[in-house]
Amino acid sequence: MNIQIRKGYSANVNDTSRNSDLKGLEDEGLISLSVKKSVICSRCKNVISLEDDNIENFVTCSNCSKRQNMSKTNSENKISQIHYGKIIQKIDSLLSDMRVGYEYDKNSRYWKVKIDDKIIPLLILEISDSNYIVANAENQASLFIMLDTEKHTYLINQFNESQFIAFTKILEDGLLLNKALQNVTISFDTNHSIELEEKFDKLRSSITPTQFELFCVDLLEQIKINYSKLNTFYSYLSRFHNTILNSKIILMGGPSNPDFIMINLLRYLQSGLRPEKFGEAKRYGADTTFTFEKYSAAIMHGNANDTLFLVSTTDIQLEVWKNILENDRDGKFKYVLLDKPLMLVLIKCLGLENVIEKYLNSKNQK
Amino acid sequence: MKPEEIKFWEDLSVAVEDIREMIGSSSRPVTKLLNRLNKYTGWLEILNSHYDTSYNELKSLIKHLATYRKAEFARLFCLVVFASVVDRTSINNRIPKDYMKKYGSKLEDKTVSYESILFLLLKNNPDILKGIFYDSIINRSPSRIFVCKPKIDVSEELLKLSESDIEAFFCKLKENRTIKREVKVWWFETKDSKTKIFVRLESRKRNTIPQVSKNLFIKTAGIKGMMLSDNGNKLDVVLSRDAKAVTKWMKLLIKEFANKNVEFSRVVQEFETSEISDFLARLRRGEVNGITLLGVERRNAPLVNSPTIRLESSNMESITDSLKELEDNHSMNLISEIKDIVGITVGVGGTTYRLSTPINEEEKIVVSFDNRNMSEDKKDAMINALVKAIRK
Repeated sequence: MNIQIRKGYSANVNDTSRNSDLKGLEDEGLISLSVKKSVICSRCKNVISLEDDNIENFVTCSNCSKRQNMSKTNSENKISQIHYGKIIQKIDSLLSDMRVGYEYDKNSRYWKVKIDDKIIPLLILEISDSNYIVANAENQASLFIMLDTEKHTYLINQFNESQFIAFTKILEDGLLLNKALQNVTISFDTNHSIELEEKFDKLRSSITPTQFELFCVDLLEQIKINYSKLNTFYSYLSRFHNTILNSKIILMGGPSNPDFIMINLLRYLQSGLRPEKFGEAKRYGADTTFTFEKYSAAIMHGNANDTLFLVSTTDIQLEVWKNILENDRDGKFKYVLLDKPLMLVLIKCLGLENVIEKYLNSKNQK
Repeated sequence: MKPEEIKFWEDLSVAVEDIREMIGSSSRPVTKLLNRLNKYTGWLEILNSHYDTSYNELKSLIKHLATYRKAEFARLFCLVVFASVVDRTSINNRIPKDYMKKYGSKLEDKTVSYESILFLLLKNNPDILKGIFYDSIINRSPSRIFVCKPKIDVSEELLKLSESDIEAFFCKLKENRTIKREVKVWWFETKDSKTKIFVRLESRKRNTIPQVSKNLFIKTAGIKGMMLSDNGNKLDVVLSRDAKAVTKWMKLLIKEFANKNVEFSRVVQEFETSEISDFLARLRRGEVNGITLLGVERRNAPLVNSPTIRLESSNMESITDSLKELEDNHSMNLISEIKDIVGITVGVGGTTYRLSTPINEEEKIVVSFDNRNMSEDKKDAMINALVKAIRK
């Protein structure tokens, strides 16, 4: 299969191989196709798209203004929608066929697959929200599934190429996923990000909300002390400023919403980690949603001033993210929410694991 | 001007009545003509020698014509208007040998322009102007090329053809209802192993005729041009959207005059995707002699919503470095997927040439070569060079 799963991706009706691939994906319910009609300008060869509701029998070229007859149109099958839910289901069914232990994190949208006593995170680059794993992918056991291989070729080099696999390849041969996971398990070190996440989850369940507030203050203090590491991390994000590494993926969906939104991580973190911010620390377990109601109440505590939220969950209500995005003014976010993945990114990339250790040890001593 | 002369200019698409009206009413016809003449050189020398005068300034000579020889002034005006619609390659190809001998060096050092030579042709051999006019149409218009199957050699039969033969042939087609509309042979020439035919077709009955006072025929008639060459094996269809009808006429023409049954099929340059991909890669590395990569148009670009991206050089400089920068600094490879390449623009010896690369049902890339402002010989040479470069 030599196609990319990307919204707007199209194949000419004459291109039978790509069309049959697209149709195959549509038949499996993974994507929706629509027919895109266009006219090629006879003067400048510009491709003019035709709208369904065009009642005229002619169209004017947007490039050279030549009036075109619509008698000869070209048709293309275009991906109008990607059904991410179905893609997740598909991978889930492949994993269940493999008979390995795995667990799906519905909030971060990735799997923890257990192979030979190692936990391998299995992520979809386009939709999984686990920045800390993406940012630390190299030389750690994790496998990335790519829906759009062309867009992510820059991530691949000769050392990490076995960590990336195209979704279309897995569809063609389900055994490839198993092989790739086995390969990653043998070739790469234990994924410390997963260990870190487990420690964080352990801490979250063992401390009180007040202790979590203290932990957050401690964490911010440590970030301040380790400003040089923060500077290095900013430089790293800046170097990859127009790549997926410098992004936080938020799954949206629903009517009138895009499927997902990618926030510029560097700009987002810089907006949050600055002085004159009110802070709100919320300790929630894995099953508690950070709702818009709680978010609004927290904003009111700070009299609607610029606020930094530190929330220990990934289950954030969609409206909260929408409000955060609406309050993006002049390149700065008024409200910045550091959820579990973002807190882990900072802990991992700034080497602040000792903060978690400290709180866990103090708990154990008691 | 006599009616025959008016018809002569109107046949060459020069709005002679408008020019005469303008000369009669405008207060500054001399300035208007001088403004047009100043674009070209050599007029003073040619006009002085023809009228046997010795003016030092073109302005004085034109004033003299406008005052004392009004018909000549109008004629010159018509000629200058005509000069602006024909191309220099067509003029150059039809300049007689004796003129070339006399003015060849001056044409080279640009002291005499090709346009001023048109004046000599008008005075001594006006029919050449017709040839130049139709050659210009062939050079400037989009054409579709067909080849004859089986291969034939009807060069002798084509050479024997006269304009009356062609007129009679089209009359016959009209009578037996092959052509339903009135048809008029506009121009015919068989020379240098090329047979060129231009016809005008009566306007379709359903076409509305706008209110016009002049050149009614020109504005409503359909024009079809056809050129047989290579002993009758190659057919260029010019200015016709309905190439099917023209190929049918030419098939009947060969049957009528050479008694041979033939079929014309479209010349299509088909390439495997790997050939185009390899050509593009070699262009990018600068390994194709004499051809530079000036532009790429790619659909399904690896960006949100898969837009079409067109990267074009603005100064005839190769875009290979720009492509490299896009790939290195912005992680975007525009030429990674050959099936998504819509068009390639190349530069061959100072000429920009666009190759459209759609895919046909057999998943082969059909390269169509578009460039209208190029003489037929140059176009053929260019296509041959490009095909050779692609096939390596």
